[in-house]
Amino acid sequence: MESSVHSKMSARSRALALLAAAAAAIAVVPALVSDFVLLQIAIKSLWLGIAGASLAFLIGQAGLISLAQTAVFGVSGYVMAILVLDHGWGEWFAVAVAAAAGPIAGLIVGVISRRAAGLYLMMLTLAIGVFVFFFAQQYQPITRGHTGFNGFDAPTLFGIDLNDRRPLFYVTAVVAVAVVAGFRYVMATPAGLAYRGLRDNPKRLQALGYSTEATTVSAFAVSGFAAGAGGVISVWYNGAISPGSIDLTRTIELLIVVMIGGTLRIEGAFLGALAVTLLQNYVSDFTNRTETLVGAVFMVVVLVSRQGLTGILLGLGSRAQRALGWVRSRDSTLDRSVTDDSRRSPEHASRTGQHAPSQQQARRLPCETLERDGRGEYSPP
Amino acid sequence: MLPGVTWSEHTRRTHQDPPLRVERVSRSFGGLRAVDGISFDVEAGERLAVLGPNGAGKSTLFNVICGDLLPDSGRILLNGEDVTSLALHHRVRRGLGRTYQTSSVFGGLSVAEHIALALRGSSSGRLSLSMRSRERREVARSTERLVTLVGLEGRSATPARELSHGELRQLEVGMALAPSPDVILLDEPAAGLSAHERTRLTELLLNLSDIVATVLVEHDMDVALTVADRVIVLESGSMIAGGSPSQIESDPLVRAVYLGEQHKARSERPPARRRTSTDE
Repeated sequence: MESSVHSKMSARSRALALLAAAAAAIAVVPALVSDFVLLQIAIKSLWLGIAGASLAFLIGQAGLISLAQTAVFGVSGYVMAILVLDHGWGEWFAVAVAAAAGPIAGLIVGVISRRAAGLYLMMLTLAIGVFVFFFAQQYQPITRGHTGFNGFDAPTLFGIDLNDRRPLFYVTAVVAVAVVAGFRYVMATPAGLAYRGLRDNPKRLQALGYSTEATTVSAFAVSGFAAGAGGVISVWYNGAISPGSIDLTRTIELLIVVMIGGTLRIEGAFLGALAVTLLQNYVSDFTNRTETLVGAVFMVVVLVSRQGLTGILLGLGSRAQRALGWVRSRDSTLDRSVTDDSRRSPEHASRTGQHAPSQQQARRLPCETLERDGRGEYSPP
Repeated sequence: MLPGVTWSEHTRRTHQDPPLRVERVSRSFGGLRAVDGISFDVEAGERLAVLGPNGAGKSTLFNVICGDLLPDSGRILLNGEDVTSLALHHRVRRGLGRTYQTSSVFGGLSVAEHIALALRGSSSGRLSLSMRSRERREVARSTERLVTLVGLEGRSATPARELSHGELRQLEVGMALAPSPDVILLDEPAAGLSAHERTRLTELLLNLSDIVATVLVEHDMDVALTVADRVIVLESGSMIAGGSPSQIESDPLVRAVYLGEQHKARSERPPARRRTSTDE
């Protein structure tokens, strides 16, 4: 019980520390970078990351590889643009409706594809994405066809114009933090556990009383919140939305963002979005084959780590921790060797080729001995 | 249930009907009749073992009861309710728990998360997006008790992919018991276990609650005959014998089927005794 209280406290303090670090970064970034970087790199990475987070959640937590997230994102963007520019709605009312359209569109995608899995799910969601694209392109009375909506002005918030770079950055960053916090909250709920069960073993999940269909629909609806938020901010950022914003290239781009970032953590989507945005902006100075290079980077990252940049960073972090643990362990062994037992000295270890085990390894040793001795694979109670 | 150990404050059992009734169930695959008109009841607290050599129809019968396969004819009743056409998750919500012959777990989840997932599976809040601290406390408490009950204490935080085969079998039983089912179906729970693990499992099954009806499909006669109150024996999809473990052990036809002296035993035995109703 005591340990659970401690772990709860440490989890809470870790979350607070992360939140504080995010707040500090948000406050500092505009002062450190140029206007170009703020607009072209920071803000774009954030809204692309928000949309990517919705897909990272679906893939990483629920095991659902969807190619319809760009469509969900587009539905929210289109709803806002249509309500403001064609129907004269108040901007924040339109934002509220557009934000609600995200989970509703996610729900519809989930209902349609609730029985599909794996490759069939990808094909079905791709069909939904293509349908939404052609609808946007061809149903002119509602969507204005291939030109879409241009000249969209971002609203003002407490008198501050969100068309300005800095306010837009702050709002986008706050939404990004809220999206990450929201997904982290969902992962800790009963539904979050069920999504992970769906990812790991859908058949077994059903044998525990869960409807895999309901779980799938629920995961799509939850992911729709972030996709919708991304859609709204992308329209503020671009001042426009057209079929080109939700075509197959954008669908693949979102998938690449998520795969480069990795799906181990929701935050990986932002890392992937930053990498893709940097490539798109700076590689064009050297070559006009930007997309080819993005594809090549995608292949290299996936070949090096199946979990993308997040996996690489976590791997480096864990290696550093192990190295630190080894150093600590070696130091403590050295201390003991001075006082207790000369045979345990590092010199002896280096002579005999035996290195001091880390704390984790030391904990595992009795269990390994039990296995080797054939006295059972777990410690008796 | 072990004395003094409970993971659920309530029991759903208020029915007069047997927890599980199998009525004249048949299932064919092409020309092969895998299960042929099997009927039996399992009473609350009773442990029924279904025995038979390979290809006898045990797994098909098990899958029909679980809902993985639809029967060609016959009915499955849980607490008097016909669940023949219901999907597995609906049967689980009506009081059925099951384990798998080959351990089927969620590799990325810890032992405690497996039990928590199973505990919530039969509740209406299984897909809840809210964190109620009272519910979390109750689930944590029940999880701790169940983890201890199945002998996995100290392994709560271990991911399932790191468990040994024996521990996975224990986890399977824990998940089946978690939602306080009326009936649990165990598909060869002793398969691949060491002698020590087998003894431990036998103790666990013998200590199950008096209100849980247990159906044990088992290839290993020693485990089945030690644990079961009643045994039915299948061969070629038909029930060839039924009774107490001692009756089954001394049954010449069963011995013949298991020892391969089928023709000899059949010729020694009157045809009328070849099917024994266990409902009597």
